[in-house]
Amino acid sequence: MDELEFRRRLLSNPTTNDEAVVQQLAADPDKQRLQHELLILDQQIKASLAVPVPADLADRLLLSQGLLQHKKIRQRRWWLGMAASLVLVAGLVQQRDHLYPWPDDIAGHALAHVYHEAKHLDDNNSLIDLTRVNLLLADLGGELRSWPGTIRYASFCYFQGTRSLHLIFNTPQGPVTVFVLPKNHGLESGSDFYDAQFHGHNMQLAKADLVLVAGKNQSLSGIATTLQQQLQFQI
Amino acid sequence: MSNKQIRYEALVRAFHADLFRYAFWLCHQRTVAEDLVQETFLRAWKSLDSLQEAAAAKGWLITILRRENARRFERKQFDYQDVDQDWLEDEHSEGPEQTAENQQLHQYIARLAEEYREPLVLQVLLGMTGDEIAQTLELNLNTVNTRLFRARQQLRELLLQSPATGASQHG
Repeated sequence: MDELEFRRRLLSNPTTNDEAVVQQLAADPDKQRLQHELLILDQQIKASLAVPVPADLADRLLLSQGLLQHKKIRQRRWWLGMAASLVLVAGLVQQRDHLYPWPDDIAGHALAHVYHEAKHLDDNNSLIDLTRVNLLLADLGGELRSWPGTIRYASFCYFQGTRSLHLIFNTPQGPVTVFVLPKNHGLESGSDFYDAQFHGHNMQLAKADLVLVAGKNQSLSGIATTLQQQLQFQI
Repeated sequence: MSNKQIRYEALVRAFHADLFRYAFWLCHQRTVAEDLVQETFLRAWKSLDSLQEAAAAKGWLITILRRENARRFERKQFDYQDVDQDWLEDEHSEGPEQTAENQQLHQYIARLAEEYREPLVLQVLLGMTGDEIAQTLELNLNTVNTRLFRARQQLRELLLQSPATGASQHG
């Protein structure tokens, strides 16, 4: 390999493992200096190439994919939504016999959703990460800044026509269901409520209403405080 | 969250920065680069099932982005902006951490012919091997090596002539 070919190979890749190049380097300090100089140049090139990346680019990319997906699902699965609504209505009618009488209020809807979700949770134990939850929450103008535990479920559902976010958080005492409703839901929101299995708590925030539901023996005060601290809504 | 969603999110997190920078060096405008990355990832989402192994992801995304860039040129060939305008935006976009020396080199890299700059970006910024670059750019390995050699040779010559950086060339 002549001098020119050596330079050609080293300049095309200063970190080459090419045996002939490595041998020549070992034998010649001048060539080692050239390699050293080229490695420094590469570091400088890399620094110059690394232009600043917009800080929220990844989140915006995920959001636009989420919106695309949402549109698609709405287009293709309207009949599935219809079927799900029918099942829910049937469930509501059935559950009302077991409830204390709260006609068409938030509590009744919340409990119906909780009974409905129980049938699906056992076969789906995957966890949802915070980014995903925030993608959905963003639709309601909200953001969960951080969360100490794991999140098991996040999906939109309907409270008598009001699109609401249905979340399930794992807590040491057991799962807690949280519904995030935009303010314009038009449903009657009383204070706390309960039935034979669950109890619930209504929280009115400035920009949204929350409904928390858990098993009768579980406390809701801890999660209520955490939500108050971590859940923020844009003005 | 579906498996597809998880794979997609991992791809976005792992490669969005590299893709943005690569796109920037193709089109020299931050807003256009961002659009290119958006289009690339949306296309990637639609054909995610065709990506068999994670190791091939980077090359696969780069290929999609190059195709999107070619489309952009087809659409834009009648109203493509003045190049000087492009560089103006580029210079203003640098962060405060960019030293004078870096900025000078930045401009020299920008001045390289695209056929020399592109393989250099793929090698130095994205860490691709000669074979991977050859495959991505649909060139033979020999051509890729020649272009990488010329890219570095030209940059060295420009830096050695430059008064700002001539002194900083350590021996």
